[in-house]
Amino acid sequence: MYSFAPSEKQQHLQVSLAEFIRQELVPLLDPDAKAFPFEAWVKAGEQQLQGLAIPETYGGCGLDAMDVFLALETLGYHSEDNGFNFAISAHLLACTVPVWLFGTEELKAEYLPGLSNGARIAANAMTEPASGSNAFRMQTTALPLESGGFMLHGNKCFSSNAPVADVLVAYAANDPERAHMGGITAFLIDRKKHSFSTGTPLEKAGLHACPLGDVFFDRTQVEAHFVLGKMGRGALVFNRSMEWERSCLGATHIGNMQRLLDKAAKLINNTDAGAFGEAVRQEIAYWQAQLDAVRINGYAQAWQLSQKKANPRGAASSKLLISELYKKMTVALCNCLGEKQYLDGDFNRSQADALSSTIYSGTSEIQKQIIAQSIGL
Amino acid sequence: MAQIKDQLREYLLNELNLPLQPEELQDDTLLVSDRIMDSISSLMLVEYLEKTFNISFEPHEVTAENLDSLNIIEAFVNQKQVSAKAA
Repeated sequence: MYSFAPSEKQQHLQVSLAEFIRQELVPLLDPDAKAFPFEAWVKAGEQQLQGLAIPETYGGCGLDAMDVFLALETLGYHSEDNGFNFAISAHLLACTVPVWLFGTEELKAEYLPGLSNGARIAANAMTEPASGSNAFRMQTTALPLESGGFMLHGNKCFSSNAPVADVLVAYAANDPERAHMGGITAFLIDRKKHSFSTGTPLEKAGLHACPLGDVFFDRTQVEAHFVLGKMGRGALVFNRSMEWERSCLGATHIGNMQRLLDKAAKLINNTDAGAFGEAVRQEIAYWQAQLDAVRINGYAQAWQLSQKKANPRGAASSKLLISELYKKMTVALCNCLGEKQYLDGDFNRSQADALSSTIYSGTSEIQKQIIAQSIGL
Repeated sequence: MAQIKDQLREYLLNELNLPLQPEELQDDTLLVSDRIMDSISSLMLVEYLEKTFNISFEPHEVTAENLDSLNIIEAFVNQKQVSAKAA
């Protein structure tokens, strides 16, 4: 049974991580910069932030999903660079975790240490221009070769970290007709070993430290041992990675929201009496109550994942509730705290950074569809 | 013979959490055709069957037709185990 009181080990994790983030990471981050923070990435690797869930034998921290959630919540609270926090989370949850869960021993031994210690940057290449939320109806093909390998051909889009990625976790159709039922295969693609190209970073509203771009496969030859899982089982690989992402990525948003509420309280208390009325205090209190509720729901789902219980509905619910609250709260705080917060600083940035949270890892509509299916609708 | 179905029933209801009451999961309940089990759950079931019954699905065998009911799955598992012994 899950206890809502953090254990001594979890408290130590949060305290030591907070100290590292504040003292060593934050000085290397500029939340207003529109560039990938390579130096901070390497520094984060010293504490294996990119490999929180990866067993120590492969160079990671060996945390279970519950502790990964707490660690990412701590990152989200202390680092104002939400783009950097997102780059770390996407790399860990959508790329490094599936390599750990589905890679061969050989692949894990070769790639997981570098993916955990900041030596490598990974991107998830799934979405395509024509597929959108129907992600498995993809046009990128993986043609089986006589050698046992595959030839990948096609384009991916909206891939976080892709412009700076050394490694991709990519999905392609070995049998387009069968789609997710045996027709999709997952691959680890290494920029040093396989030929592919990436587009220039796209202009976007927020998350500037995490570059977003296209990926182009042009008859890219990939050896059989770079397959994650088995041929035709890529939908399973993707689904497991999304279960981790939906269960844990929102932790950074929880941290971000708590930071904003704490700042709002300080701002109100340090401002001349009368500038913010009772209505504003009550509104802040109500957002805190909502945050507490979705945080507990997030903990419950992360705990369930740490028990290795498949729970697509729990993951979808956690992701849906956190991201919807994140978007609404950041807009509302800018509104009720006035022009200065709207115009600059953490409140303004967070509002822009929150915009895409209801889109990535599956839109809110996708999460509702998963929940509906789970109750037989 | 009932053992395979019992194990399957346990997995489908308690691990895959299919939206069914135990009494609704009959031996001939159509899992895929009646959209009780989606494609992701089907692939999870394939991984479970491979691990639990020490069999291996060929890519072309991962189909709705081979996974559509407890009766069908049991027959498929039995057939794979017999083929493995003969080989």
